[in-house]
Amino acid sequence: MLWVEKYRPKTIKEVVGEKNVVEKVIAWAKGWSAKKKPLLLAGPPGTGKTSLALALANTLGWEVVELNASDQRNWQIIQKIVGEGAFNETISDEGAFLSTNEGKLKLIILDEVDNIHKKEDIGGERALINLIKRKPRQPLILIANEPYNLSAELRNLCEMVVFKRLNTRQIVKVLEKICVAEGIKADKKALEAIAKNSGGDLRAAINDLQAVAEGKYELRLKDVVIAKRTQETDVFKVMQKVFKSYNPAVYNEAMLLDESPEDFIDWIDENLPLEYKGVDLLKGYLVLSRADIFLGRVRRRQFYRLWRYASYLMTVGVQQVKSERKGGWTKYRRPSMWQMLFYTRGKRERLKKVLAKISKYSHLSTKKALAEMLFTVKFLLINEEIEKAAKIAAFYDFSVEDLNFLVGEERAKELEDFIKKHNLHRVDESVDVFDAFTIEKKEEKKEKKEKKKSKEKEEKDEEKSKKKGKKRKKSKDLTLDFFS
Amino acid sequence: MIDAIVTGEVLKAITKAMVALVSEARFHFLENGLHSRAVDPANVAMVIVDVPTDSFEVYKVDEDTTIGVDVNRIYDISKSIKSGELVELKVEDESDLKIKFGSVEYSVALIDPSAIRKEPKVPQLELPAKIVLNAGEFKKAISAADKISDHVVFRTTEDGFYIEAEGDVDKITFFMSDAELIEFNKQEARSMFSVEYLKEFIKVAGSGDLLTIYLGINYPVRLQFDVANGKVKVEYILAPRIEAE
Repeated sequence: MLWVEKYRPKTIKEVVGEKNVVEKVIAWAKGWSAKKKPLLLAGPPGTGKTSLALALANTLGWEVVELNASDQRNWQIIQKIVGEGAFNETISDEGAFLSTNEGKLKLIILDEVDNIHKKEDIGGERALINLIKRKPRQPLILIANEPYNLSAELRNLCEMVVFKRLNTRQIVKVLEKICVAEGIKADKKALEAIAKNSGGDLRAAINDLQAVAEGKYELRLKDVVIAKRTQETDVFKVMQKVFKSYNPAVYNEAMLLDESPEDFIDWIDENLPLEYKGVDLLKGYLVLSRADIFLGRVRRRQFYRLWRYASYLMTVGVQQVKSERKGGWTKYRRPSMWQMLFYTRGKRERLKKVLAKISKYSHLSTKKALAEMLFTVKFLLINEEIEKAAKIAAFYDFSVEDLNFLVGEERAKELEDFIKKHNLHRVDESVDVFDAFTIEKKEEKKEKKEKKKSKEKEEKDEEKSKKKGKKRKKSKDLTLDFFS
Repeated sequence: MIDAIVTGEVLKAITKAMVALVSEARFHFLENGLHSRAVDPANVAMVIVDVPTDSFEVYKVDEDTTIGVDVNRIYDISKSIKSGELVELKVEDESDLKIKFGSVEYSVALIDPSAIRKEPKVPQLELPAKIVLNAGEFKKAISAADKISDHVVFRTTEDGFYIEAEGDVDKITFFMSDAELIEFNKQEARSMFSVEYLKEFIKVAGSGDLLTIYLGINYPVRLQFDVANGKVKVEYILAPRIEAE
């Protein structure tokens, strides 16, 4: 049996952690009513979030419904379990009926909520928010490692309690207790080594202890040969090492980050000017630009081995060019680029749509459409007389939003009105741009619809058959091309 | 070792009853028949399935045996069996269950029973009202309630049995008088329940099956279905909704 499970705290008194954190949670539970916000326990792994929640339920005699990370878990299941579990009374695992009227509650624990969100199911988070807004009648605890991966709305609906990494002393204390219970005589130095190596993650420390000590009677310092635990570092720590030290080992740490080099370069880029000044800054950006060249090559050639050089340059490269060790503490910022990208997302997507239309109707690649056609179209739309401009707009099948984006609202409205008034629109099979615009009557429209429905259908209209002939010819040409 | 032969409808009824609440369950092959029970993951409802030995065509069990079953899988398989067709269930070495019908033999891997959630005890509930009715009528009432609300009220008075659902604007009342009910002890009771669960429960019953309801006041309800021509007893226990003050 895993010691982590075996020695999980049974009551809230046994939970190791900051006093005020534990007290906050107890206060929340003691006076629990449906009016209270759900609790959001946030903090790095191995700091006792789940243990505290379970111990709490155990202490108060609440039934527990725990949903932890597993592949079977998706938002639908969560919605069902939380949605039903939180609004109904309880039948316990033992088979007893527990009534809230008698104060017998059921604690619903949603472990690792921030991880579900990543499964590209944004509507799911919405569903959870709606559930919480309906005021669950049973206590609910959400647990997350990275609460800021959750939406602000969800966070605000919860009462957040932040857990900090445990210090070495706290961890050693727990390890000592376990050793006593297991009948192992342990050297305190050995336990300290394990605790330090765990980086404030009690679960990791206990697992390491079990690995080296299980089945032994004595544990000495030299027995502790654990591979250096890959601690979870965060991007801020790595940046600190890049900017302030000369230790090239930072490369390895950067590799452990949950950021790809393509994201990490933005971090360095954003914070470089906060640290380096003058010649250092220049040199720093020179190295960084080189790293960027590698990233570009990776993307173009899909040759990911080059990432290594990019990562090395942006960490150790930037680190080594400084003229002197930096001291003090700097407040690093999130890459403003990301925010910009977020704000301009709507615009970029609109541009993509416009380019797709231009490339489709002018028979260009989108790249060429951007380089050669976009500004021409824009210019014509703005400066041509209204009739011609409107025809161009109709030719490209631009929507009102497209026009707003291209020429501004005022002109867009003019064009749109003109188009509506004269009922301009594209006729697909046209070859000549300006012949395509006939002011259509309703009848013709109907025919067009019919044609879409059954292309095989015989055409009575002369004009139509002519067009069809053209089309046939076209497809013939295509096949010829294909075979030749 | 287990060797049993049943009709397709019995196997289907057993698995259908279980899948309404759980995806894995322990099946106990006992001296007096097959027994299984489980609580759903939200701890709101419980299912109990009993199939007496008489319902099997052949029932040979050397000693009491418990197997862990992926009920979803078996339910899927049982869907392709005709209701009158005979199915042979065989467990030889506790690692897999063989399901044989016609010329097909499925071999389904079993789950270690200890890996499945702890089994509940059957709760002792004091439920004053007892109602026996045609499951088909009950089905109709629940399906109708499902259209307008997510919860229903079960209520008994001296006159009979009411099922009431209230939507934002609509209201549905289902009433069966004492005379229409097959059996009724005229006790008063009232509780509210989630339609979400009832909806799943009613799937197990056919329109001719008997349903016995035990109802209390803000207390769980027991729904006992006799399905597959009375060969399988399925009982659901559902905790009531917490009513907003």
